[in-house]
Amino acid sequence: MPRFAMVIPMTRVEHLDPGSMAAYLEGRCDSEDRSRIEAHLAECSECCGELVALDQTIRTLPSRKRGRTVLPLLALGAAAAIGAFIVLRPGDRPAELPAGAPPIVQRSRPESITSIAIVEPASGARVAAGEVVLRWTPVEPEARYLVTVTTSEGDSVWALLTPDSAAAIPVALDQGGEYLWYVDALLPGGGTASSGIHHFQVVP
Amino acid sequence: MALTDELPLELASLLSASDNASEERAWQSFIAVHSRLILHTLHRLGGDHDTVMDRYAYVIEQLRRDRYHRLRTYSPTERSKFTTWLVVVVHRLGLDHHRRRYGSSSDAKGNHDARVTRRRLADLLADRVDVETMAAAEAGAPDSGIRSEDLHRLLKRALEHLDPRDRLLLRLRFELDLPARRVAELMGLPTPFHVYRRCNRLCEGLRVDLARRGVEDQEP
Repeated sequence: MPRFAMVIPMTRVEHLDPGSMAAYLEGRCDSEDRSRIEAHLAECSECCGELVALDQTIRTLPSRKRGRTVLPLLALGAAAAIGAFIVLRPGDRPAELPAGAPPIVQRSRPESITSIAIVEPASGARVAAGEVVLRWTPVEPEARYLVTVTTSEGDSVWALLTPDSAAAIPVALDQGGEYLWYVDALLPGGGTASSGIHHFQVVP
Repeated sequence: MALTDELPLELASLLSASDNASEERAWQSFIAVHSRLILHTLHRLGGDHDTVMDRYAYVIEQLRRDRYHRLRTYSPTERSKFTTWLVVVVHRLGLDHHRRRYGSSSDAKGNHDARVTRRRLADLLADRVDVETMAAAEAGAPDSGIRSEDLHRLLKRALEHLDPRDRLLLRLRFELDLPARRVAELMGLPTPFHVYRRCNRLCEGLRVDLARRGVEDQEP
């Protein structure tokens, strides 16, 4: 595979392919690639403008590390948004909001938070490798739950949107690995609830 | 190469799904994991709530198209994180949606803003090397316009002789108005002071270059 591919994603002019653009944004190029990419950026106003726009977009993304402390709030936003996009309209099309309603992403206000009680695994629990089942106490009969599992670094491992109050993690987890998990609920009235972040360790 | 060892799990599950039901589940999971990132990226392109939602629907459709053709182009050997790659792809799809809807003459907010604030690099550098001041001093002269054009032409030629990395540095700093700190981060320079120093050195070099080409004081 060429290390520096050029594609034609937007116009007839050649532009940086997404992989090169992303690598440059992350500063993960070797010197050869960096030189080639910079030579293109120095000549191409479109790619250079895109680089700056993407840089701003990425810098304003909720930070994963910061997300450990604010994750429940962010996740509530995600639950509200995802609930509107997926649960209410299975065809991927986001649901229309009533006239005058605030944007979906603003629903996750601290005052709307209620708590979801975790059943198992308890926070800090050691669970046997194999099928790990997550359980929580349902908050309302019509609620939908977004259950999310991440590595201890915050990288996504698995997520599921479900009306149930239990879910088995279908992906293999590393033995000895530590994982974070949390449940966010979208309530029928538009409210949200969160379990907060819990962690468990997988043991042989 | 084991697909699941290299790709993010939600993507690996999607691309390796063996039947429609598991593929649908994997897709829902993928969306659940990445919706926030997709929405954030599309929101940055501007527009009201409905516009962002339309854009979102278009992007989702495009990502899903031809059995996730776009997502399959992500290589596990890419040097970037999948999420960064996805931001680039979603950003481009968002712009594509805008072009399809409004035509290429009208642009998304980000590009519009960029266009409004963008000035010719040569113009900005001209400020730095006092070419504008030189030209302004000649404002009363009947040939001031021609002289100014000559100055800019010479400056453009001087810029073309710079190393591409230096040209990019000047472009990011002066044309796109990036703070020195961000220029340093993007270009792998240790501190913003390296950017300042390099810019000053380049401008000084351009002055000398222009002088060699006959631009002395206020006369081109």
